[in-house]
Amino acid sequence: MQPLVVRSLTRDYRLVAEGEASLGPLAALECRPHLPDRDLPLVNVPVACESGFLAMTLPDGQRVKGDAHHIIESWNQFLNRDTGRSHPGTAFVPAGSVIGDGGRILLVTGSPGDRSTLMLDLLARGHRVEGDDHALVDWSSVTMRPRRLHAPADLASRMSHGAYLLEGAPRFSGWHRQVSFAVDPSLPGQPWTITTGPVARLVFVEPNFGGRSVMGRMSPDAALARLLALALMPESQVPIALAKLRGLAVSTPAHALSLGDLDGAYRHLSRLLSGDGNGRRGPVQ
Amino acid sequence: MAPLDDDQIFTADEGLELTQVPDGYVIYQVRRDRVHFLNPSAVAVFELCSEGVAAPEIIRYLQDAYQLPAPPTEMVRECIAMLVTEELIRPCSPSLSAA
Repeated sequence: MQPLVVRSLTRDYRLVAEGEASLGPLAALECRPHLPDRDLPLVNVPVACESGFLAMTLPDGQRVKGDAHHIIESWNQFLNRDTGRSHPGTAFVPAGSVIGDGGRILLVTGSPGDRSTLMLDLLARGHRVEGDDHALVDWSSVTMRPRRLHAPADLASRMSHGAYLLEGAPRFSGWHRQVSFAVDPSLPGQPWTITTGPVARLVFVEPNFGGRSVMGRMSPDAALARLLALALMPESQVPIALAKLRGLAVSTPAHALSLGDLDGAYRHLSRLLSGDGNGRRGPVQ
Repeated sequence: MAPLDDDQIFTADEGLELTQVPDGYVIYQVRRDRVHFLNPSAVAVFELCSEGVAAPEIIRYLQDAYQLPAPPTEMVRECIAMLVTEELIRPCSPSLSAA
């Protein structure tokens, strides 16, 4: 059985099946974006079958054993620890990244569901999506942490134009056993690529259930307050991580998107993606 | 800090990382794991001190650069004192600076 490639910003992990173990239930972990200019060491991680359960020793030494859900959750927690350790002095902002003619737009929100919906909508409309997890902030520049986009099983009922994204995508189950799909954001003829680069616009997303989507400008101070509220801090060198967050806030135009109808949100975002000025005008908060 | 002699010069602390931001500079002091925000004029004082320029010359430079009607003597001396207090610069002898 072919190993599963799980690429991080510092390692090329390969989950390798041992004995009767099957990697099929872990397929949602597979993540192989193109990371230019990064020479990633290869790390093999054996996955065994023990008493009907999957078992593995995580690269940091922790032994985990359980069903696919438990293994996937444990692996994701390991990746969080791994990223935190390998990037001192760097804050992590929960965000999705999409790149258009106007540059990189970072959609920032503490609500993963809202963010994923927007990112899947943008991907389905043919935009280049870099990631939908956490952005590592280095002054006005960011690097997205690799992870496939998570799509709910009922995606077609929310956006019929995005139903095709689930075709061939591996499925996994969440805490409440709800089924989701792990979507590779590659586009036809355009492989999934993650680069480090500047942010053209920050867009802070807040839900506006049942309403229209409205977007307005935000002041640097308001943007910094939101970043501070949402960011995860590294284990060490926190002061410089805070300074880098401030650097991003004061150097990048910021917008607040009240997310209601998806088509309305896309109209606002497409203007920013095309590099069209300041988007819809609104009060500076 | 003792009164500043006119011929006193300084050297920058080791392990400082400077980054320009839109409203000035950020200096990360690795040794103390501290971050300092400096406005553009404070950065000018810091950089001139780091190059071994004494206070009277820094005062003249800033007066010319900002076209000030009077020499910014007190401002520069207070700024230098603050940079020393924060251990971003430290006094050194002219011979040490030349080396």
